[in-house]
Amino acid sequence: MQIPENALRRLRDPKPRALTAIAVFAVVLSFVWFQHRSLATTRRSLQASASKLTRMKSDAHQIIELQSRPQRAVDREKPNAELLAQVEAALSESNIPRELWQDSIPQPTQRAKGSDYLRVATRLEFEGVTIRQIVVFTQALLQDDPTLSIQSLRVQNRTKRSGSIGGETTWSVEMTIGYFMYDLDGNDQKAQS
Amino acid sequence: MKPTIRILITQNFVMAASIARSKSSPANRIAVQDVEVPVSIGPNTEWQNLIQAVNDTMDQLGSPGTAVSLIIPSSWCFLCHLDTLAKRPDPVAMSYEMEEILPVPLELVTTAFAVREEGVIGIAVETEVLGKLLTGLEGRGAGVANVCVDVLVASAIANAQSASETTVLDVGRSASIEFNHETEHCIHVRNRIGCNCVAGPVSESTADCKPLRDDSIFFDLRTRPLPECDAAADTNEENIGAKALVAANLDQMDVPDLRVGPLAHENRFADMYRLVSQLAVLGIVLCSILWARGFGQQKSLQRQSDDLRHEQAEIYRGVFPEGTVPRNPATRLASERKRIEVLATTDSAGPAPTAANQPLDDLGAFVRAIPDDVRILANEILVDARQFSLRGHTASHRDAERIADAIGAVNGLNVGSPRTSRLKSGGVEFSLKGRRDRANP
Repeated sequence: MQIPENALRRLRDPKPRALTAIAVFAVVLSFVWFQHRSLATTRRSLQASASKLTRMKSDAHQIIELQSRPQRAVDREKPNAELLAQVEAALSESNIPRELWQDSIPQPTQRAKGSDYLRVATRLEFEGVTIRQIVVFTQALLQDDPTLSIQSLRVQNRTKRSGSIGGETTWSVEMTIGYFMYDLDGNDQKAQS
Repeated sequence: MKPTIRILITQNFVMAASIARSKSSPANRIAVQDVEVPVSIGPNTEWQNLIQAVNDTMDQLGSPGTAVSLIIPSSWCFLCHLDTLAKRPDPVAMSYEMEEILPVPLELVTTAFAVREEGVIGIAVETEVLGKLLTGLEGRGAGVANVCVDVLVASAIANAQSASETTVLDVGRSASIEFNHETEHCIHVRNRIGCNCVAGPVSESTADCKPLRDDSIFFDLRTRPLPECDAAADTNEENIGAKALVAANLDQMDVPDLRVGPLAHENRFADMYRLVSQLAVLGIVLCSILWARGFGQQKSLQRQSDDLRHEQAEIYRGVFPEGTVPRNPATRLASERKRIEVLATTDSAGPAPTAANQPLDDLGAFVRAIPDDVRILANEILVDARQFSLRGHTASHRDAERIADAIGAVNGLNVGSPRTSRLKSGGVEFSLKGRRDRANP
């Protein structure tokens, strides 16, 4: 861009030269000011990133440590078929005849009192099993899935159907197994307080 | 500022005189200094000797550092006659008209105009060249209030005296008004007709030049006047000379002033403007240094930011070896930590921690607790997280109580008294209930 000669000559006068210098100084100063703001923003961002990194290190350490612990709850409801498959697998593992398992009845989901967890349960009914068989069965079941727990146990000696296996008394057993599901939503319609 | 001294510059001397403010008070003192004055001026003209001569004359007058009125040789200027019919000619229009005659660009000169009945006389002088002289004079303390051209001052004097022609003699002039063909070295200003610009040099012959007409005035600037004489004492009507110029009352005459436009006197704020300019330039330099430094800092911070981002990605991959790193890995890790925490820990938000096999463990505890010498036929046992019940047969009421006591001794259980009923076939049917102690689950 060619600067007009008139403009250049006008700059010989002190006043236009002073005004031009002030204008250029103002422009350069504004550049420096914007740069200063940008630097301040970048520094703040860097500090935030450094804090974030520290938190990330802590979170990663905790995650690895928590991953080594047995899981005590689940974050979504298991399909009923999955639970029944687990029961069948435990029966097979503990050499319990399948026919001894009479029924499985899903129970109403309840919220564990004063917590963010829901209790999801299924009642299993066995007939003519010994205590030993029940113990072996529960061990196999819980070993395969540490989130499961025995919530209640009813052992009945029904005179009409009592018997023995290998000299041991057999029982009618109702076992409620279940797991805890983490649920922050308090409006779960299945839950009963 | 009103000048108090008038200085005339001719070819071979400089003359200074105190200015007469009224006709009744003529110029009293005159000082003259011999000096070689350049016939023509240019960018390489050396002004030191002339400036020194001017200061010496002012010192001789005893008025250093005062405001002066300067009369310069017409050979330093371009003079021309402009034809115009306007009663009040526009200076800008006349400048453009003059530009066609000038040998230098209009932007390089300062122009002034003398309006006469016969037309307009235009004067132009190279701004930068004359500016050096003015700056040099002011640097020595002589403030130049106005700058006039000798032939136009002479013309104004002659006009005031109703002279028909004016002749100004100054040997060696190079540019001037109209050539007098009879005497080649004469410079002729015609008041009534005007003058034309001539480009060629004038002969340096020192032959006398006679007045052309009886009613013409003849200014001989070749003669160095005696300082002790004043203009009024000079009775030579044919040789008015330099004294007439320095003594003229220019306030009453229409003499163009070249101290205008680019050559205008600097106002009192000029020094302040210069200072402001210098400070602004200093500020620009400092800001430039700051900006450059800031640029370097920005690069460094950017590198640190990239390093941090890279480290965050590495930490993320340490937890999630597969998959891509999300845009916000910190949020993802925090979310994952919270998810695993609620699934694996037994914090206050979780259910009361109990063994997964608690009911069977309790059953085993009950069986172990029952005394060996007590016979029991269990019909129903119910155990859950909050309560238990036992229904069965035993030998006696006492045994039922012992069973209740034994089970009640198991840690964390509150057992009530057994309910018994004697059986016809012998023995006692009992039922036992208890609750788990909240403090010791």
